[in-house]
Amino acid sequence: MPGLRVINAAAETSAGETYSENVTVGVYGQQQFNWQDRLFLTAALRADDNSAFGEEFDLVWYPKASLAWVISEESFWNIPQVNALRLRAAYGEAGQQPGAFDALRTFASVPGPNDVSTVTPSSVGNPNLGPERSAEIELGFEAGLFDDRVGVDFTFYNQTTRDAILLRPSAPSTGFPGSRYMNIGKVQNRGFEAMLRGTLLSMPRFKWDATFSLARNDNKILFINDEEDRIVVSGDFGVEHRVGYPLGAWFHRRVVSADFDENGRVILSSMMCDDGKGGTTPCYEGTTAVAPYVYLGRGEPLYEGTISTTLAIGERIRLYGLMDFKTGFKKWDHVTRVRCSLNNNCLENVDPLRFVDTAPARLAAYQTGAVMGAEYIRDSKFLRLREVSLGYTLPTELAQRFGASRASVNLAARNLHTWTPWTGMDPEARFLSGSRGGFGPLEQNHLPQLTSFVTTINLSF
Amino acid sequence: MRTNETRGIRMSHGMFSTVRARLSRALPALALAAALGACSLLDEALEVDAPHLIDAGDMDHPQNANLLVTGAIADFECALGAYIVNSGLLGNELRDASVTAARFSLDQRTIDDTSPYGVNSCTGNPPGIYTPLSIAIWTSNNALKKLKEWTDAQVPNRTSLIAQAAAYSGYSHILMGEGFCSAVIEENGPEVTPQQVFQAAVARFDEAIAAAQASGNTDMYNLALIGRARARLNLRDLAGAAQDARALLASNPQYTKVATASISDPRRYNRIGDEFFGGRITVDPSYYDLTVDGVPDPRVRVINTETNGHDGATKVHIVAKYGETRSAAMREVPVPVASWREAHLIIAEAEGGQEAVNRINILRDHWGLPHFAGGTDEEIRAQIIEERKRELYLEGHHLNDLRRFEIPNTPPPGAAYRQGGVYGSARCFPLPLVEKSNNPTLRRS
Repeated sequence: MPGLRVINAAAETSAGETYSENVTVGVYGQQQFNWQDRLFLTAALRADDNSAFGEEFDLVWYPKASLAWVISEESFWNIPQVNALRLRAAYGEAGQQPGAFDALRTFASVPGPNDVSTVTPSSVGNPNLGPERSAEIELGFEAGLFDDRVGVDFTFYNQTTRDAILLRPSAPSTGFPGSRYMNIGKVQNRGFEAMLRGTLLSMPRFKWDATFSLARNDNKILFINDEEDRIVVSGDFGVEHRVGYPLGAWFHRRVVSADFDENGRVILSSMMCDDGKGGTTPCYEGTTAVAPYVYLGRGEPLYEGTISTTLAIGERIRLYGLMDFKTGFKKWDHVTRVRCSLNNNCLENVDPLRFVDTAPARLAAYQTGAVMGAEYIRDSKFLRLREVSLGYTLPTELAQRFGASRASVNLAARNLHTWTPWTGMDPEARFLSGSRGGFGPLEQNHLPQLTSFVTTINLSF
Repeated sequence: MRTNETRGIRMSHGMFSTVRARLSRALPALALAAALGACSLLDEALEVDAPHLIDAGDMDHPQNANLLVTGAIADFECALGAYIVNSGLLGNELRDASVTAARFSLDQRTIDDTSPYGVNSCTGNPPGIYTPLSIAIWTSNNALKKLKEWTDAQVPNRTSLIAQAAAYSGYSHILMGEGFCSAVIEENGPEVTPQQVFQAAVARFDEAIAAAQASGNTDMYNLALIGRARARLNLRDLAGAAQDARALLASNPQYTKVATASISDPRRYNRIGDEFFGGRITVDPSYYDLTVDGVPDPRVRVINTETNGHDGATKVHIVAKYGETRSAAMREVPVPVASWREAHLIIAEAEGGQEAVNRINILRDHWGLPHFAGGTDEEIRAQIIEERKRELYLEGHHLNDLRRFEIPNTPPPGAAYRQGGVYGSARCFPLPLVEKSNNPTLRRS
């Protein structure tokens, strides 16, 4: 096609355009069987084709089967404390389409010599791009105990994703900048979701309920194509996909020990780093950092959960509390990095001798810039008192004075306190973009979540 | 709780809802699904419009030949500006005046293969060079390849366009060879030495010169001549370098080629001017108040703007060749790519002796400076280095001169760096990790 026809290429360049069209063609068939309302079997098959698939990629098939058995309905069931129990198992395959134009190789319109519009490589594309395919086995149960005063839900899952769509930087020698989406490997997600709910106290004018939920998701890269064992997502921040480790895990150089001169300046040749094998190795050769990047942790939580409780006093007063937590992950504390290794306005910078004996590794890392990045990759677990609220339902006659059939007042306090070892502003703040490719949470210039007090008046008419 | 969303059939995590039996006839649906695979009409149904994108396939058309070549030139010009900034910081011509952390390793000479020069675009902060130069090499080579596939009947001025594409490919190679410790110059190709990069540059310039002569494109002929002279100098082919430089001066004794610049778009900025204007760089103090026998040297007239840099502390010093005042107008000043001045210095270096003295004095006359009297071979060589430092200041040569002439860095490695840490010893840009870890040829080796 001769010439440029995109709006960006016009002589008047203060314009832009975007357009997205995505087509999926698919069919779906499902068969369900029910035996005496206690055994349920479902089988299904789905076929999809999508415009976002690469030219070289064709149709994709997704089968599914599930079985559920309400065992407590069986005549032989004789555990009176467990009034309901449902067992279930399922196998299914699913897919995730690539982005609408991820497969396409494109140029971008840019101003050229004498400001005449021309083109430059934009997206390298991938003609072989297809959907991410996952197969999952689920086993679980739901139980009601003591006439449903206690409920337990539990699900174990083991999901294997093949042809996982991961963003991989292009080798610049390809002539195209940025990254491309590729079906690049095999990833395992394994974990459980559990919930325990119960009525702790039940009296005519007093009821106390509590719920605890916990989820664990452990993901691991099993395999990467092209005989590789790692993909570097961001070399400077140390985000990598490595076989045997979680997706987008943290890898960086970690200082173990260092000596300092009489002014508290680190002696580079004395710096020893973690060698990743249980030992140490020199961090530097001359002034060049040579220590290996070692595994430091995952970027996504391994565990997360909530604890909530509701206290109902009479028919009008309701007290509610919610705490949530996440643990087993780390974030990059970029504020500390900038303050302490670049702008040099941390205590370690102005009074280094105070830290020579107490925190030599940290001091050495701060004095050598960002090349010893492990110092900024820090535990980000937290437990947060998310909400405490008090609700009061007004008497009907009072509501009617406002012409309402029902009225209530709710006083809520949110984000009251956070227990965390995180050194930045907020363990939940995340900055995901650019070369980190959506992996590797980082905090930079984020405002923490504010503590807020909210009063709500509800009137129903 | 899981974060990975999936399409297709979603797995139910099940609650107590009762599933009622519902018999349905699945066979027709399955039969239809099977038919899908064979149905070629599907391809048509799956076609979507993307009017805001330029499909690479659309560029593969003879009528877009000119577009491919101007695109390659645009890529080179943007890369050149970025290269001058990066090599200026690493090569003692500039100092950083920013508070942007990612920039310090350049000035500090502590870059490694993950530093921003490897991944940033030519308009980044700091501007990158490996990716922009790789793009410039690829786009010029791609244009060259297409032009060779097409015919004169399909593409007007095809041979002249070949000369342009080849000449700019040659210059992109030169910058890659002069700046990098090693490089990859073919798509997903092997790691090669600077010498191999210069050899590739010479081959491109050979091609450019032949096509320029055949098409009567004098501009590209001259540009390619200086380019080949520069590449040959790097290969220590001194006679060949001098021959090309003399040929250029014979063709046009005042020839200068510039990269045009404008404020229309960040890609079009004079990158050096933009960095001065933004207060992110300042002239290295070693260039302050330079004179020749007491006469101020106009080639490196440094102006103290008395304004603070981005860091709020450094007084920004600019060089007059890119603007008399620190203003946005600096973004519009053209950047020299090659010039007759460089040709004289190439001859001086290649031939030495009295010829070198004569060439230096031709340039001194041009600037109204006192003559260089000459001296021993060593003194003349030292003067050539000094003349290059001044004459070609911030034109993308000095880092390579530091390497070629083994000039010690100042401040020396190990000296305290103003932002903390110490100066390193990097004198070239390592092959970036982004290339090493994503190039299948390198991954296998």
